[in-house]
Amino acid sequence: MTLFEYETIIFAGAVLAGIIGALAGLGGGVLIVPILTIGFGVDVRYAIGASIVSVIATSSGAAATYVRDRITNLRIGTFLGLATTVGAMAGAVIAGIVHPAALYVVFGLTLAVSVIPLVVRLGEELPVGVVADRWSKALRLGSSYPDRVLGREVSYEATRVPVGFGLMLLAGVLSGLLGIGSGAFKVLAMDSGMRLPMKVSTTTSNFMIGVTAAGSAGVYFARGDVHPLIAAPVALGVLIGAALGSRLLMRLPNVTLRKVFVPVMLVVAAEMVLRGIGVQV
Amino acid sequence: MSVQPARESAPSDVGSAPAAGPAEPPLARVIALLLVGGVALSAAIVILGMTLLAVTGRTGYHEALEPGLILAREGSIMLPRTVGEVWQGVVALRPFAVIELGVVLLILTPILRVAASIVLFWWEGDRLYAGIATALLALLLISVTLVT
Repeated sequence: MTLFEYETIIFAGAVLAGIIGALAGLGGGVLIVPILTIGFGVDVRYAIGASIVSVIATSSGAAATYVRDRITNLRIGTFLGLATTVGAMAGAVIAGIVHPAALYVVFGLTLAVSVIPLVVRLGEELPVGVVADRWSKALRLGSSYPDRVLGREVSYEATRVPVGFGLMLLAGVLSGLLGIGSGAFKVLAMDSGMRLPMKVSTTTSNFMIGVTAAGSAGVYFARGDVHPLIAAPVALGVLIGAALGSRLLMRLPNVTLRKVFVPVMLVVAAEMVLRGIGVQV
Repeated sequence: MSVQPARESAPSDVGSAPAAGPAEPPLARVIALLLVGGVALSAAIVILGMTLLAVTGRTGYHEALEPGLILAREGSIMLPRTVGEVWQGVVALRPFAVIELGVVLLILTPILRVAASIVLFWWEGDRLYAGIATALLALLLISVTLVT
């Protein structure tokens, strides 16, 4: 294969990863890493470096649309960002003590089990009967967003905020330990934990994964893991894909987003378990 | 005959928010524009680097530009790793360094977004969240300096 062909195919894969990442609220690393390692035989270190770039490109590529359309809950993202950032720092500190292989298996299985509540609520367009808890009231986490599919402004509340905050701490620890964006866990914390509408969960996660990844990207860069020939087509492709995905999200019902998220989550879970038992993906 | 109120906007009416919601903060649009500008700038620099690479056929760090570079083992090829190295390479117009400059700018956009949100919250008179966003930015900067 010529270099041009490599670059073109990586670019095309990155566009796809960007679209799915923007819809599901995760960074597209799930797709990028196996495409690069299994598809092309790229060294896993460079693939992970490219995946960090992909996370940030997904977040920033979709952000303009989400900010303009007031769908990302900036208050929730900022408040929970405290938890993920502290968690990520703790994770980086204990990374030398804990064996990552076991963690991959544990978290992969946890993720697989967490699919169950999502599948149960697969047909749920909007959460109903959510009552704001004490924290949600004090922090004014409830808000509203214009839903183009439903053709109206949708008001929502957040509940079980301590659960959401705790899950975000965990997601942060995971990011710090394993160097992943952990977008799937973030969406779960907001969707299943705090009972936010699916669109709000994925777009707020989209904001948060960029922040988390930016906090740890320096390590990968300094290590020399960000390979220009891989990072360039990934960055450009994912930016385009995320911009497309973010526009698509506005036109899709929450139910469809769930149907995208559930299989993506299972792929993430399978990848984590496989990596844990030593299969390089 | 029709007693139903007319819908404010058709679903295809891109960009117009339903009137029911709170008015869009003008700064949200400014932040969206800043984001688009920052992302476009970093993408433009990456494209410039790729163009230089294609035109010169050199990376600026290696003997030849060949597919083997993509398949290289970790650490076996030379890359600019620090901001200083990237900058020196950019000044010398080395294609790899120009690409990495674009990537570094992209990496900075989420941090700039948090910084911009402090201004946004403050502008809206939301002291509590201006404070929370400041704490988040501080934590981020601490973690960036700790890990590097």
